[in-house]
Amino acid sequence: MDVVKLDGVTKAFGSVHAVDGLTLTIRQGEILGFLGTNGAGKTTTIKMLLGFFRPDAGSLSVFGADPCEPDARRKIGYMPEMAYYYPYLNVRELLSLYGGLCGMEKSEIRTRSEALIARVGLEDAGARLLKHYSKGMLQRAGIAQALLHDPDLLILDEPFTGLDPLARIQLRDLILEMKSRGKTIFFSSHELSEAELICDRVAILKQGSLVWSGTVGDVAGDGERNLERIFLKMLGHASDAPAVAAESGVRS
Amino acid sequence: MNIVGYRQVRALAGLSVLELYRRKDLIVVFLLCAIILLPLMLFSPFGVSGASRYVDELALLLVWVFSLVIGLGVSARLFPPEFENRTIYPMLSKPVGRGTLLAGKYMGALAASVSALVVFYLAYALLIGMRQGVWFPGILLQAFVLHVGFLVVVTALGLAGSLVMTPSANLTLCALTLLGMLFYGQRLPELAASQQPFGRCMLLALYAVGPHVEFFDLRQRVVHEWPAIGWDVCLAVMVYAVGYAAVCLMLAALAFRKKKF
Amino acid sequence: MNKQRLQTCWSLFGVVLVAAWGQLLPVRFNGRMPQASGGDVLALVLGEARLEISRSLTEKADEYFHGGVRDLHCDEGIVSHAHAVSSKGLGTNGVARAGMGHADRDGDHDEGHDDHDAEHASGVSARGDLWRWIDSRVHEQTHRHLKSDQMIEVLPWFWAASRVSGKNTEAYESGAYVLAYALDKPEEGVKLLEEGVRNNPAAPSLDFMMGEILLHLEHDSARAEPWFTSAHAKARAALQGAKRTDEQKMVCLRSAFYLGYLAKQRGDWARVRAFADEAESLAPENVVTHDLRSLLKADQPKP
Repeated sequence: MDVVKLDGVTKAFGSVHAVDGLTLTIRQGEILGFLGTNGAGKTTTIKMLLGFFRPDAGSLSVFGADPCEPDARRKIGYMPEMAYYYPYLNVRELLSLYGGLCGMEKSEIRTRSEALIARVGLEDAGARLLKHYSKGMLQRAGIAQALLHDPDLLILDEPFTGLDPLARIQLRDLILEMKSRGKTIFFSSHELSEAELICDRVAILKQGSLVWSGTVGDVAGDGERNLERIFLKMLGHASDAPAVAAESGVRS
Repeated sequence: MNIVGYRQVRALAGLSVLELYRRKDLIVVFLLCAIILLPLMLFSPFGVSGASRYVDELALLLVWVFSLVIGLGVSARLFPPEFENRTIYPMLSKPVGRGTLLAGKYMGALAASVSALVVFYLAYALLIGMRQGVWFPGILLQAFVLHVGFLVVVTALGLAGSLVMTPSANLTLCALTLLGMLFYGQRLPELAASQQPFGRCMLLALYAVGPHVEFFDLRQRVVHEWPAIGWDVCLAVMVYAVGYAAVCLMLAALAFRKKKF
Repeated sequence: MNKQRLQTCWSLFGVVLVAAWGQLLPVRFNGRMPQASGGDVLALVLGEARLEISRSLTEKADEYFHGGVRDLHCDEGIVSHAHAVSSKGLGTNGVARAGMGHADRDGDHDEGHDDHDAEHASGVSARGDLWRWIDSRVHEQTHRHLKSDQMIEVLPWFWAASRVSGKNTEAYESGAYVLAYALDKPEEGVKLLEEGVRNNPAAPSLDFMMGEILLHLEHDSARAEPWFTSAHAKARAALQGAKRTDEQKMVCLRSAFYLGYLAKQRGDWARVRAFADEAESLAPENVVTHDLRSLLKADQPKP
């Protein structure tokens, strides 16, 4: 089943085409890595998937519904890139806020909050105000709020930014755990190594257009930095792009 | 509104109240009031003690000034920090409509401001009770009710401004408008009569659509121990407050709907 | 001691040093400081605005007198009200206070006017204007005055007015009347007037008021007479000048009345006649002139 469908989606801001004819599907239970340089259109695509604004052309749906409708977002959990959460709340109050926004009951919020705080490794900092949190701790709080209402689709924007190596491993494990429970994960990242390790599929965006998508298995060959080479080639930073693609037998 | 909507609004409202008390703004305000009022309470002009109305007037003036500062301060900070700190994204990603979000933010700002107002009025009631032996007169209750109406208008204005202006511009514009209307609102027609046609139109338009916050000001009656006004007048003024706030919130909803993130 | 504490100590020492130097400067360079001598902080900061601010403060006192209502067309001010409610409005030997008989005749203002006509009080029509109609219902402008035991409420404003500017004679006059007549503290009223006279040596009304308080409340005609003499002289000097006012004329007449009355007590009829003639030339139809003439008629020995 396709959880997310984008068909010819286009979005322009003035004369700048942030997303240009993007067609992509995300299947249930898979982990899709969304790669591209800064300004490629990744965040714009994510914002359209979350219903922040509508595309100028094309169509998109999440679980078969228009994401601009509030009810359609009930199954989506989102973690933004480096949000500076409310400095005068602690992590329990933050989760209580987001749980309330999801319409959850207080008892349910309490139970799930405690479990998530422990899961992301913030139990020692539970009473501290968020203004005293490091970047990595804020990222963990962000993950916890994204998972609070047990969403079926996780959209993570640069989730590995600001994390130390141990935290990265923990996050990677968490994502794989979510996948094992049947969740669908869609994340954008600059961390090619992380994408190579956990993604089922990868999509590369350049100047708003999809230039390549394929499974990680397709690029498995000698294994060393294949994704990185494809990434660089697709973005026009090496001369032998077609040769590499042919050698790896991947689709573009 | 169903139970989910109620939970959403309550969650958003709680955020503003918690922030106000965690920021300790209220403590600072109380300290300032105490520093200003205590010496006056001990003062005896020409060596004669017993005058109290001037202290009452100053105390009520401070209540009004600080409630305005808190009301505008809370409402002007509703949205800009959300945009700057990117917390608007996880908020909008939840299954909550923009209208509910706006309503929740507004209720939060109003709840925070009114909770501070309750503390102010309790303190004032204690002050006059201890000094004059009059405990919780009816006119004071009425003044409190109308002051809540004032905050209904102030927070709506602040919220609407927070969607289209920076916090400092919003605060300045709202404060100037509110204070101007409070002191000169009823004199606008006379001022307009002496102006050129364009100026006259502008002033009359301001008189027609500006927030007539002087309707909520019962300080004179409280200080000088006048009887309470009719509760029908009180109701009419509160209806005005709610109506004005509704218009501001509608404009805010339109601005929020068009806002791109 | 660590570096931070040392810096704090040095900073505090610097502050104390500057403060001490600021105190020593006027002493060390007495007479050579750039500021005008006798000036204070208020004068430096407020300048010419002091008197205006002081007048606003006396208007505030008037507002308090009228129960918090402004801009009322009321002929009765704090001074005349203080006269009317004072049980000591009559002088010795039952002589009514000079020129104040009309206040008694106009009746008792204690209850105020039960005039709920907001339009009359505010002077503006509320017809056809919804906002004004609402405002008039919220801020009813009923005409009222403070009762005598409530007059203390106006004192802080007169205190402030007299501190802001020593040239505001109305603050001294009204404040002294409230102290002396409404609050039964004539000695405080006298102290205030003494300060007012020091700050306004050319103002006849303050001397006159001093004389009235000493005569009517302290019953000390020996101390009162020099003040009436001084008031009379100052008022006459002011009337010679270009800026004659009705107030100066009334002060001249009233002080003439009291001087004539005190002269009559001593049997100095020539002096009484002189004052009566002076009043006749100033204002022949004035009630004070009639009072002076009646002094002459009462028990006058035949020449």
